[in-house]
Amino acid sequence: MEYVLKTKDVTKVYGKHKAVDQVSMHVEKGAIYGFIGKNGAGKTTFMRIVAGLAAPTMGEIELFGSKELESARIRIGSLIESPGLFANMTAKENLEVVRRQFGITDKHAVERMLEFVGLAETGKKKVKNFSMGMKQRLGIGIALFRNPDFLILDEPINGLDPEGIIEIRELLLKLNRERQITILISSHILGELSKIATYYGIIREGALIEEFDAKELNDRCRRCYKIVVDQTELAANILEEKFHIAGFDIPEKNTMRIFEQLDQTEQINKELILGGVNIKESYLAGQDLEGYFMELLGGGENV
Amino acid sequence: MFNLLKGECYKLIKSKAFYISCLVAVISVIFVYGMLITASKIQSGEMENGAAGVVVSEEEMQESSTPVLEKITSLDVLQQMYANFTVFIIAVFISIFVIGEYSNGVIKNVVGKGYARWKIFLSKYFFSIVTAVFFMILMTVVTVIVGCFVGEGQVAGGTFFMDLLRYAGIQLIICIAFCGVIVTVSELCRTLGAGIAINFAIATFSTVVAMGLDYLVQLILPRSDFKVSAYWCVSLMSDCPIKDMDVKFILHVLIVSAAWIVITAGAGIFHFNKADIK
Repeated sequence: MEYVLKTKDVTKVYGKHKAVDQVSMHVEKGAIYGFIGKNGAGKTTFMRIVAGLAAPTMGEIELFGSKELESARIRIGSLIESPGLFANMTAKENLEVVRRQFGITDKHAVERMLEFVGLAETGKKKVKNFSMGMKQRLGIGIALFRNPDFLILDEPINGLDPEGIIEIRELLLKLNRERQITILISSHILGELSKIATYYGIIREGALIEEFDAKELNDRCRRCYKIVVDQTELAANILEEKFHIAGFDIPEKNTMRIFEQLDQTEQINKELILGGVNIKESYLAGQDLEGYFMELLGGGENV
Repeated sequence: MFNLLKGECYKLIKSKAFYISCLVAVISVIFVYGMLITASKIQSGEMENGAAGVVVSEEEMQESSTPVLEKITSLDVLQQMYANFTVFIIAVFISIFVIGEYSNGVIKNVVGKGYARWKIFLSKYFFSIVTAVFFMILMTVVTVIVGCFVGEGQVAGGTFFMDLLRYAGIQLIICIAFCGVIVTVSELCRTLGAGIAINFAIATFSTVVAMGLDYLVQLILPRSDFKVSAYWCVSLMSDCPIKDMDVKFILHVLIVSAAWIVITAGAGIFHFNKADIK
């Protein structure tokens, strides 16, 4: 497995407060990694550490398989918190500063990037007169300017209207598909994040509590009829023979999840009992993505 | 590092604060000359004493006294400009130039992008010095040009241009040290309002504080001829003689300025390397 980012026990302490607590994250190459946590959970601090804006108190970071972070960070583009822009300059001038700072000789690179992020028509309009969405797009343009292989985006859709959110979503998908850019993205809008993320990391009180991929998330959130029985093998036979159900699994001993014919639960129970299976528990399980995230994050407020 | 300097240059060219500072520098020169012309007209009786807020002393009003415009040359005006205007312009502009990058977050666009942090700080430090030197040169040139228009007496005398070069050169060196102090204080502060206030206070009150410390040293060590103000760049700027500058003073200025440059650059690099970027 090739990882773009691998951290081990990364910790950041401010006084007595542990903002980031032994985070070991794994971001696979080509992934869109959704980083989820409540306000103050440590997402931004962790991203700032990875981007080189803050130093970890302890822990190890590996970027593109290398521990030489200064040189590896050349391949990173980041937009952390608000985009860093000169309000009195135009979009073109802001990109021109970056072009000169990094010695990019191709003068047309600025126009191309403006075109790419959809700001080619802004002309002499100063950034201070830009909408939130335009500023975010310019911030992403700056982050993309040196063709990074890894993009770190902290709340890039914050404060955007629905149209702006869709624009940014499509832009990120395009970057991931066409340019194979790996993306680490945090967002409060969980439903939106679930539309693009292929991998998830959940952070709570500074600690990364879980990492899983989109498939696993779908499995976890899938609606099912869950039964706890004494004989799973016998129960499986009855389900196949009597109901022709193939969509079930046994995630743990004595527990079965049935994904089909969820309107037939009464009949299923009856047949299982008649067949000699003892049912200890039975209930309909599964929830929507946001509900699942809320459960992981430990509460519904301020996510 | 050359690329970073190119970026700084572009930012300076696009900075509104830079052009406003240049304008303030030019206007302040014209303002000082305006006062001199008014004083001269009061002296010759063309205007009433107290007109436009300019009051000429009884002594100066007597017929036997030398006309103000002959007595005060462009070098004297320049001394006033350096000590009373340039330091403020530099303090305010550099505060905006350095701290502004933290306020609007653009510093994040370059930190952690492959450049060593010391290089980023030094490019900012160096370019701030270049800007300060530009302000000094601008003020010098404008003072001399306006002086030429005001009257021949302003730039008269065989040694005027030699004195000017020597004086402006030494002031330039002290100014570089002062600029280093301002850049480092801005880096340590990183908050625009507070940074401007602290740097403005340094430009305004630090000479008085240095004098107070001189007095304190005299009280504690009456036999010592050590003076704090002799080692403080802003005090050196106001105490720098216009003419008859001896080699000892020039060497002293060079050593003190070099020391301040090394100290401030070192402290700035150390802090920039250690501190997180918010």
